[in-house]
Amino acid sequence: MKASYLGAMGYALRRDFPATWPTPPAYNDPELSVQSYQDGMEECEFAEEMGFEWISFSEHHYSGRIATGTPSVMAAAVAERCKKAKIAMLGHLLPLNNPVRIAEELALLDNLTNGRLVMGFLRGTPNEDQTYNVNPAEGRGRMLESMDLILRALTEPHPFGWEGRYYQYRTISVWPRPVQQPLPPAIVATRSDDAVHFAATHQLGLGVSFLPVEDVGKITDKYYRWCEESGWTPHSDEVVFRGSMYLAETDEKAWEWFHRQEDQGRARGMAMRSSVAQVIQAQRTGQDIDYSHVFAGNASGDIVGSAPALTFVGGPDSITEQIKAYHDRSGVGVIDLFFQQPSLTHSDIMAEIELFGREVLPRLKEL
Amino acid sequence: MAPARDSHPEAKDSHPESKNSHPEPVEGLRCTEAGQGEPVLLLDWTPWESSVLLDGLAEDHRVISVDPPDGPAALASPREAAVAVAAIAKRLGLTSYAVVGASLGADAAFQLALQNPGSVAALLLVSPTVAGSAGNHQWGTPESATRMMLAHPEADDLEAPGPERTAALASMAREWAATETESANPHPGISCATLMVYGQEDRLVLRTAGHAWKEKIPNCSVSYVYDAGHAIALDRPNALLNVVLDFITRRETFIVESRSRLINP
Repeated sequence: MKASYLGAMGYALRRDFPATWPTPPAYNDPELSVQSYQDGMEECEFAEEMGFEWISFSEHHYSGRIATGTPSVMAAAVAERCKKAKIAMLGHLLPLNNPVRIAEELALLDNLTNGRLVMGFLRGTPNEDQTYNVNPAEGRGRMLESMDLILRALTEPHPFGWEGRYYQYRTISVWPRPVQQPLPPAIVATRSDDAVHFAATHQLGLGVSFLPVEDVGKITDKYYRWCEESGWTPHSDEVVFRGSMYLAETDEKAWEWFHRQEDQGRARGMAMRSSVAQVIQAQRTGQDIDYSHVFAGNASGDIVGSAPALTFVGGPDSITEQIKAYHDRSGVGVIDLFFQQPSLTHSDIMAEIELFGREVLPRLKEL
Repeated sequence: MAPARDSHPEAKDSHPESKNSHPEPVEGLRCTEAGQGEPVLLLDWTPWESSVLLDGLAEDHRVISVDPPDGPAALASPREAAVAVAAIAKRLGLTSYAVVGASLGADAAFQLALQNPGSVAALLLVSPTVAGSAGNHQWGTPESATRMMLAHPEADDLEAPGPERTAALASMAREWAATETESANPHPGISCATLMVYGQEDRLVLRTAGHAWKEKIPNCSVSYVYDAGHAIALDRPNALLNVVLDFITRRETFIVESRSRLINP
């Protein structure tokens, strides 16, 4: 089993952010922002040094928590520091972007890294539909079409046109070609049947995030069944799980930290106004929404809902067992870990990476 | 939620009264004329008798739609089909025309352009099989044709094609397959504006068919229609018509965007 370090590049004072999305740019001090990215890149370098075989990046917008709205830019910078690790784009938010531009970025990254790129295709969390004005009802269709288009754009040796449902291009001719032929490894990050089926029938990998073991198992069961029906077996590197983690020297210390976060309200994730969240969800699922009860600044305020608890909490032995459970139940071969919990400092995270590399990673590699 | 398939354009049957079926076959092939304008020869030879291309093109063009032959023995090869279609054009007094062919009609249209380079002003091949065929001709029944040629997620609600036309075309396809090798050589002689259109999920051609054409006719354009199989006019009629009309009207300049993206002036 391999470990992947999620290069979240969180802003140093993210602990002070309001629990809302988007995070106002007023919270950003440019000088501290520069230092935060330097710290984040140092963490990536150290993770590679400690045995992480992938460094991953994820497109998230309008927040300093995962501060990589343009993940290809960040990946290119880190790839110059990390010379051995796979550079995993997990991933681009397909419905939000021009798919040809994504294909160009992926191809260029595979060249810059001399064939170390892992591609990842992702729909995005509901709030991110707002970023570039995507109708939530169209996100699923845009993602499915984008995947087809990107795969063709990266493999077609001559210029071609595309008459899609959401995208139309008359001239596509992506340059350069990927170093890894015919395609760099690709992971479809999803929980939805149609995208899981797409991954299986197109011989692509699968990524699942932030779900309990058994829920992930239900998804991977379908994936493996559809892969078998399509006549192939995924390699262990093609099944990825992303979780957030807090590792301490002992279970007691880890849980003590976690409960302190709960007491301080930091275990909660970002949230939107409940009315906005309802409308996005309704449009994503094709339901009608009654706008008559939607008022700006409703009584519940901006902070609503609660985030799920961390996926992995504990000392080295517990963390190893928790991760192993995903490997054993779902055949997860790559664990992609989010270390940058809001209250942690750069030095906290460096210490955590060191502990993980020393105490946990050697045992994972034996799986 | 499955995406909605293109609805047939409103242009369909908008001028049914203006269609003029020639009472007697010309060169053994039945023809229908519709519309006014620059002439377009249409060879839409798929198992379905779709009027999408005819009606759409007839909005601004004089379209001569040539039906496929009734039986496999009528035309032994795409070359022979091209000779018959050229004779029809000559009988009608056409000296310069665009040609649009679909499926087997595309194979015949390709031969027509090779044989008549001075007459074919634009060549548009929809789902041609002559280069890059997957060698799959097992679609001789309405059910198998539906299974093999449609790919849209909502294709289940489409009517199957007629059994006689399907069987005749499938038989002709098998016969023509034997002539493919001599048709698949490089063809630098085709210098008119040329576009190949494929369904992204076409099961009758190889995924590499588009680049095979680009290597044979360097100046041609290749376009893929998403969520469409071999019978693109059935799966994504509006998408097909959009690119066909744009190409027939603007020829090779169809690659230049001409629609305004202005939101508010």
